[in-house]
Amino acid sequence: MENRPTNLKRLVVLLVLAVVVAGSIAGKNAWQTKQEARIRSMGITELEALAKKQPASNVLYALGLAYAQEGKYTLAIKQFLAVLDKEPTRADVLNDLGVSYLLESRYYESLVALQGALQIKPNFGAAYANMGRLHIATKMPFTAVKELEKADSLEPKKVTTLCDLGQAYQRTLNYKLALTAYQRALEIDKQSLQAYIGTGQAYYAMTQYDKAEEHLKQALAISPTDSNALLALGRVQLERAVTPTDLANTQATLEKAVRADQDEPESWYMLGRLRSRQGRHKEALEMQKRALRMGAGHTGALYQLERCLRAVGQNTEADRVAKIHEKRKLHDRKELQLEEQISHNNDDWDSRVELAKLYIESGKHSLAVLLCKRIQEEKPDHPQLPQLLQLLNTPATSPVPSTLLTGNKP
Amino acid sequence: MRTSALLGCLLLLLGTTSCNKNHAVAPPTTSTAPQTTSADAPFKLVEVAEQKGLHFRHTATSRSPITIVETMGSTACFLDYDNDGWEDVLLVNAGQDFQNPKQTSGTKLFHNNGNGTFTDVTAESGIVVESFATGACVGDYDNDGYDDILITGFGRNYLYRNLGNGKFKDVTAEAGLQRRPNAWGIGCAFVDVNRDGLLDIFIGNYVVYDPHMPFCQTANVKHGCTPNQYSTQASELYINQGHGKFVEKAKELGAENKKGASLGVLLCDFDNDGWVDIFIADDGTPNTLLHNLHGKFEDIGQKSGVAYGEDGGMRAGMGTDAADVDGDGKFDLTITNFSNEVTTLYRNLGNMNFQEVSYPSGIGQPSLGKLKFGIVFADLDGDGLPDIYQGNGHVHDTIEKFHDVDTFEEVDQVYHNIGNGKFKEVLPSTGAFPGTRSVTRSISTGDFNNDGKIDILINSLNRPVRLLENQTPMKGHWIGLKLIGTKSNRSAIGARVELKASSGNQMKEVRSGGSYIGQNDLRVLFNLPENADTSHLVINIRWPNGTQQTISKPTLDKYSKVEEPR
Repeated sequence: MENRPTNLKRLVVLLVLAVVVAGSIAGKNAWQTKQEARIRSMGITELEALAKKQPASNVLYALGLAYAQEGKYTLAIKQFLAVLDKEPTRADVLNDLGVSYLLESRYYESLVALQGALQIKPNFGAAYANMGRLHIATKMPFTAVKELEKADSLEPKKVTTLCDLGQAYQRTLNYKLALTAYQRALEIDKQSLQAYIGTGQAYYAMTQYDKAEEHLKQALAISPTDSNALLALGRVQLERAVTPTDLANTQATLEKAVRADQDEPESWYMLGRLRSRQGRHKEALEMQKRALRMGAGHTGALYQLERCLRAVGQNTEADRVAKIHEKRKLHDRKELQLEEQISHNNDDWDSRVELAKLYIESGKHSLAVLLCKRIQEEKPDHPQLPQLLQLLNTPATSPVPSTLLTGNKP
Repeated sequence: MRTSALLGCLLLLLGTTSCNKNHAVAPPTTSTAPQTTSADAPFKLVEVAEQKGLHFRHTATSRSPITIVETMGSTACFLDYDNDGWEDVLLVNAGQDFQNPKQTSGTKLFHNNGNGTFTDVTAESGIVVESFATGACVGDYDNDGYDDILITGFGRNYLYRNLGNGKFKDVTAEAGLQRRPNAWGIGCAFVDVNRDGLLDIFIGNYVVYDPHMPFCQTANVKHGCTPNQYSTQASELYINQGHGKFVEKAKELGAENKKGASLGVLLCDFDNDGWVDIFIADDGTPNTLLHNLHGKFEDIGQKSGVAYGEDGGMRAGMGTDAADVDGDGKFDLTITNFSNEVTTLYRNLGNMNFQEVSYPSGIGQPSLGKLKFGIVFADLDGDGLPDIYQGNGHVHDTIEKFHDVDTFEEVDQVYHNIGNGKFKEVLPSTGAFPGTRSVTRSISTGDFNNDGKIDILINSLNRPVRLLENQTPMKGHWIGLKLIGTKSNRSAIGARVELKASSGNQMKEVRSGGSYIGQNDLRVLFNLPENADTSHLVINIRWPNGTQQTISKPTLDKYSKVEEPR
């Protein structure tokens, strides 16, 4: 499943605010500072009106940041590009543009923007941190570690950087280093939700479930309805559950997770698994369908859907789902194989083309674009490139027929 | 979601990574913690290999990093090749360099001296294995009363016919075991798939090794690639034609398992229809359950629920075994997997339908941190319930350079069956078993000293063999049976034996192969709890060809021969 950086959303707001504050303070006179403060205090409607009248860089930039804060990244990108038309060497704007692209899963554009920011300002800690986040999202965790470590050295004591560094360490199997990073974050901010969740997840990966639960519960003490913390805790509890009471406690946690974020397929999938463990297959079936309606690429939900269908005697449908699931898993195996091959041979363009096709097939459009751009730039004469680009522009179809996903509301 | 140990550093964007460093070879070492038994130890296993005369050290390579071929290890088998009623031991060796077609044979046959000590009889046995050998299995394919041996490996397989005079003859070619090009046999079993009384041979083939891709890397550290990097190989099923000839019919009979990277091969009649099914633990591909439909097979792995983990992922299936863990009269299935994947336990719900119960059974969580290979169900404390011995050891000898938790050498794990299908991990610190750090691959069970307690035989990668003698002070009686087929195959492979007892029913099968490239004692051993009523014991045997036999008042505390009614 493509790794969308959803957990970065809150972070980006902090980042952009930090950048704008830093940028505005440096070298401004009192009048300018007052003006900037006035612009920053404006809402989107006011800024839009002002931008129409007076499309100065600072107004457009402020409007871009306001859009980003509202999660309107496409509109934010437009404003940042407009600023860069006027002032192409603004590292801060390039950084914010890179983050916006990242949050839109437009990885290639994000890369270009962040590289630009770092060319202009080589010791730009925030841009390094964002580059690290980009590389976590694009399955390059070892590169991400280096970049986040660099960001940490340039701008130490940034909780968000440390937490993402912890995540990158986990992805490179360095759990002890991850714990150290989270610990440092907690020394700076004792209430860091992200650091507690990260610590819990690292202990979970190390199968130290007591410590995992302890830290996830601390996260929930800070934010009782945080869906990530609830989901992580539910996962640990489900794996430990032996008695009906254990299952009931797990159920309570997962139901809270579902209430906290109704659109998170993982929560429905986990709750469905719990229902299956409880022998409540019909309910489980509906939950897995719901998970798949929200995230068609969720292979765990797809598999559980097949098991639920069998449990309720719908064997024909189960056989259909089983075929889709098997195809998907063998597809995943091939992707892994090609990814490894590419990591060995930088000049293996045929494997890149094949991998891009597989990414397109499995709905990992952003990763496919990234590969295609690379091929376009470095191997423009590859005979399969035109076909690949054509595939890239073909609208994706859902891997699971909608007829299999209709059902009652769980 | 857990992070897979396979972490390719991708070059999707920019930058390069380099393959560098040829890491120095660390000398193979094992260290055994001092063993004292505490009250928490439900059993006591003591390492006695050297003391009993099993002088053997497995060798696969002296290089580092090691490739996928070198990391798979080799088998340790129990067999009674001379029918003297004492289990002998075959210890298979890999070799010096798998890239060379011929190895200096290091495979050894040890004769049991009739008192639980062993003598190396390799030289006179005629067993000379020059391939880079991996697995082995045992069965009397020619029904001459002496168990024969099949040895699998990278490069070629060997079929050794037991001549009955302490000597074996390589009959691979004349028997017709012509292998597919580049086949790499791992797990195997003698099995009478069509119930004609002749043992056929099933061989699970792994992957097509690509010499151009010996290593992968993580964080600039080279290591052997996982099977994901190679294409899978079809399995082979050789049908016994009689007169020592076999014909390969895997495809024709639906047993090909083309998409599977096969490792552990397990025979078990899961649906109790009298036709032996074949389960294959596949590494990084969906597990396979070949349902025997009167001599033809259908892969029902996915349909039955044993192909994938609960999360729908393909786990790294290595070893496997089956036992009735909860006493419901159905064989449940266990499978070992990679680190950060559980040891899977599937509960048999009947009608070829399984439910994963790894976590609720109590073996899920403790198994997560280890990379697991061999696994056996064995009643270690003699209470009539199958416990689990699980062998651990990573596949990458360089793992510690890029993973700050996993290690190459690991300590094995044991799970005590506490009833109702639940298990509790027993730690070596209790003194229940040696806390030897090793790279365990093959595990087999057998009663080498005929004391009615199941012992454990372990072959580890590049390390000395281990024989764990069961020294648990058991106070209950036991029943040992050596089944001899007359109409069925003479080894009685595929026979199902049920013990009806007021202390609890038990169920066993006679199996060739199993575990991860293991071969258990072909005899059946039932232990009875202390003070169990022995006045109404009944043994029901279903012979491989379907004949039913009932034995009332079986002989206690010694092994008895039982011949199939003619």
